[in-house]
Amino acid sequence: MFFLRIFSYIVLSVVILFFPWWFAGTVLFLFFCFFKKYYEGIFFAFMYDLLFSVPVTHFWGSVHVVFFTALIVFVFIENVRKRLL
Amino acid sequence: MSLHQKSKFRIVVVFGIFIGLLFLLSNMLQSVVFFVASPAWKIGEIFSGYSVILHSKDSLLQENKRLKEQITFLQAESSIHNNADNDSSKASVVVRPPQSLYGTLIVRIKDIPVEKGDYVLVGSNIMIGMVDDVSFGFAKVILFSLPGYTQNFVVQRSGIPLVVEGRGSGNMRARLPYGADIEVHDVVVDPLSSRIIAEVIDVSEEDTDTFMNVLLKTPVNILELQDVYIRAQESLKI
Repeated sequence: MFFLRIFSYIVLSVVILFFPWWFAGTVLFLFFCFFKKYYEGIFFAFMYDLLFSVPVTHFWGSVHVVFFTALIVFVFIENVRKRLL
Repeated sequence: MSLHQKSKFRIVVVFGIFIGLLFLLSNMLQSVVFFVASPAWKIGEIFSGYSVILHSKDSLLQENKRLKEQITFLQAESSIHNNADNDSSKASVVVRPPQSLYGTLIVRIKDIPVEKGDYVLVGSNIMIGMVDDVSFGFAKVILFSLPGYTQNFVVQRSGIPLVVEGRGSGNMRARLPYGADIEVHDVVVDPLSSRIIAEVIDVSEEDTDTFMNVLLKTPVNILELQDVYIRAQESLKI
């Protein structure tokens, strides 16, 4: 599982750098579901924001939209996991 | 508080401190992220040229046709504007929408001095955005068509000023008072440089509204941009 987790970092990096945002988002969501307490996903979301974001009013002036979305999804998935298992 | 609750609380606190540090150091981290990403994008740039080998015969023929058209267009353009682009710097686009959720462009600037606020052009006459940040040979570009991004421009034919708001993927929107002199196919330009920003594609009026909705589109397809030119603000002023 440890090496799988390391491999997921490489996959996530490649997906963020070369694939459309919706694909990167889907992969991140799957990793959140697959790995237990995937904190690294939130870190990658933060990195995504640093790479691509600009402050525009469309997202209420925020430059951390992906980060906050990932944080909410992470908390939600972990809560659901806790209730299911 | 039980032992389990204590350890849980500790994890949350450590995680919170870590997130806080990330936010505090975000400026420095941005350079680090670009430093890590730049070699990957450079490799990606090399491979993107070879990916055409994997395509079918039809797509190769289409690609060939497209490239021929591009060569003709660029030859014509360079013969017209040969002198105009002396101070411009050519940059290749490595990230374009829809790769970025925010609709930004990332361009490779290849050791040419570029500063925040410089204009980004396609050819020598079409302006598509401004440089927002420069790191490790790459520049982040805010497109005028970025969702929610507003700028002041003028209609070339009538000289009417208008506030243009980005709608994403090269589309823009403006609101003008009812009866303003604007038509479909009018060109919207930057008032300082007279460079083309967009073309009016639709003007709609409603009986209950005192304003007209004007839809605009950039003359180039943002999703297929390959190369852009970056020029300093001062060099474009008339």
